Amino acid sequence: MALQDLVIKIEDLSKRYRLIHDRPERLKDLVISKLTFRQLPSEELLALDHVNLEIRRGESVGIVGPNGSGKTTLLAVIAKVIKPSAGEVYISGRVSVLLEVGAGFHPDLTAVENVYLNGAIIGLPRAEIDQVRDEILDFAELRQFQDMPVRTYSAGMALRLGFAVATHLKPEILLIDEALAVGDEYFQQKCYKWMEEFRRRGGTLGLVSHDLAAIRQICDRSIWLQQGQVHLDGPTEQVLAAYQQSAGYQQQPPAVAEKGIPRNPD
Amino acid sequence: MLPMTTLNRSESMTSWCRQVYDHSLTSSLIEVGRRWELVRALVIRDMKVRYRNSFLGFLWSMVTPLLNMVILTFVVKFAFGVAIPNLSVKILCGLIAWTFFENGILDSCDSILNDRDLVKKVYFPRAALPLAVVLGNLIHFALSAVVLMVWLAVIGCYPDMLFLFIIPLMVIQTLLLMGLGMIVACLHTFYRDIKFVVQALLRVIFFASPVMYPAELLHKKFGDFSAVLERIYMYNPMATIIESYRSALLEHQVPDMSFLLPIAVASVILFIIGYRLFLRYEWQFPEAI
Repeated sequence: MALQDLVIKIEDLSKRYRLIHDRPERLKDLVISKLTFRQLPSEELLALDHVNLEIRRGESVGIVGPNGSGKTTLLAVIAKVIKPSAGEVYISGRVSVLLEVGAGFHPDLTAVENVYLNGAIIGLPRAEIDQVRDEILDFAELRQFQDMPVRTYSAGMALRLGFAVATHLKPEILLIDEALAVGDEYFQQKCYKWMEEFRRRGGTLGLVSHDLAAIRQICDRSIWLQQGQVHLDGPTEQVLAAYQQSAGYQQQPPAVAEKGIPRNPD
Repeated sequence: MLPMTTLNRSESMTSWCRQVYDHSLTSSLIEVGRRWELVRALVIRDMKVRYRNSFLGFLWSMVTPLLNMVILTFVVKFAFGVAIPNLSVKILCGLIAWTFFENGILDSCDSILNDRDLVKKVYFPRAALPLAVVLGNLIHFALSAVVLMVWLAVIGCYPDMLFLFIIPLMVIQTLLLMGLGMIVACLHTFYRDIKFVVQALLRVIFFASPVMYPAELLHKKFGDFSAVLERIYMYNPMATIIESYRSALLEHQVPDMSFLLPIAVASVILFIIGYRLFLRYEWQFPEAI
C-alpha cells in the first residue's frame, strides 16, 4: 500500500467526556462539595469510539451522520482544539480545519480589520494578507462594504467574508464542518466550485455536512458516523443511500389527502 | 517536503507526523514566538474595540491616572493632613504602576472566557490570550509613563540616566503579571467567582502597597521592628516595584537591590509556575466554557 499517499491516519481514536451533574461552577460550590464529601453523579459520554480512518492524498471525503454522532468532535480532535482520550492522529501536510468560518470576527471591527484579525488567528502571515486582501474581498463580493463594521452585515455576508479568508490559506488538506449552511444558493455553488478547483490542484478535502446533495456533488467517498463509530465507509452513493434509508427517508412522499384529512387506506 | 521514498516502514513515517497535544513550557514559548503576529493582532483588536466608540480614545490612558492622582493627593494631603514633599508626583508614579498591575490581573481573569468561540473552534496557542492582555496593559502603562515624564519635566525634576531602570522594572512587572495572569485565567475559567475574590484581594494589596503613600512613611512608625517589618512589607512585589520606580525616576538613586533582586527572581519563578499550570489545564478549557 502506498504509504506516501496517506495524509491523515487516525488510529483507534477515542474521546470520552465526563458529564458531571451539578459540577461546581462557583468557588462556593467547590468548597461546599469538598466539605460535605458529596460524590458528584456523573456519566460518561463516548463521543468517539475507537475510530480508525485513513485518508489518502487527493481524496474528497464526505462525513455524514446524525447530530451527536461525533462528526464535529472528530474534526475538533484533528484540529487540535480537543485532546483525544486515547488513540493517535497522524497528519502529513498542511491541514486546515474550518470548524467555524470567520472565527474571531468582532462585530465592531470593519471587514478589512476582521480579515487581518481572522487571518492572524488562522495563521496567515500579515504580508500575505496584504497581498491577497483585495482578492479576499472580491471573492466575498463585499468590496463596497469593506469599511463598515461587521455587526451591520447579515449572517450570509459574514460567512462569505470568513470563507474568503480561509480559501487563501493554501492548505494541502482542508476539512470543513457544516460551515456553509447559512450561505445562499449562489454562494454555496461558488464555494463548491472553489472546492472542485482545490481538488483539481491535488488538495485533499473532507466535508462534514447534512446537505447530502452537496456531498454527492463533491465527494467520491463517504463515511457514516454513528454514535462515535464508523458505521460505513465507502463510495458516496452507497453510503449515502444506506444512511438515508436508515434515517427513514422515503423516495416518494407518502400519500396525503387534500385538506389534511387522512384518507382511508385503499 | 518530506523525503517520502526513503521512509519505507509505517512506524518511521508516522513518527514524523504524529499529532502532539501536550506542550512543554519551552515548546509553547517557541510557538507563541512564532505566532507573534497573532498576539499583535489580539492586542490591536483589544485597543481598537476599547477605544473605537469612546470620546477621548486612547488618551484615556493618560487622563485617568492624572485624575486619580489629583483625587488621591487631595485625600492624603488635605483630608489626612500628611505632609510629604512632591507627594503628587510620587502618587502618580505609584498609581500608573499599580494600574498596570490591577488591570493586568483583572483582564487576565476573563481573557479565556471572552474568546470562548476562538478557544472552541480554532487551534492557536491558548497562552496567547492572557499574554496579549498583559501586553495591552503594558502599552497603556507606557502611555501613562509618558504623562509621568511630562509631569516631571513640568515640576522641574528631570530624570537622569537612571530612568533607564524603568525598562528592567517593566520587564519584571510584566513577567510577574503574566505568571499571575495565567493562574487567575485558568482558575476563573473553571470557577466563575474567582474574579470577585481577586478584586477583593486587590483592594487589600492596594493598601499594603505604597501607592497612596510613600514607603518612607512606615519607617517612621515602626521603631525597633522596622528592619524586620520592612523586609516583610517589601515581600509584596508591588511594594518593591513601586518603590524602585520612585527611586530611579524621582530620587535619582539606584533601587535597593536587596529587595529588587529577590523580587525579580520571584517574578521569573511565578511566570514559570503560572505558565506550566496553564499548559496543564488548557485542554480542559473547551469543555469548561
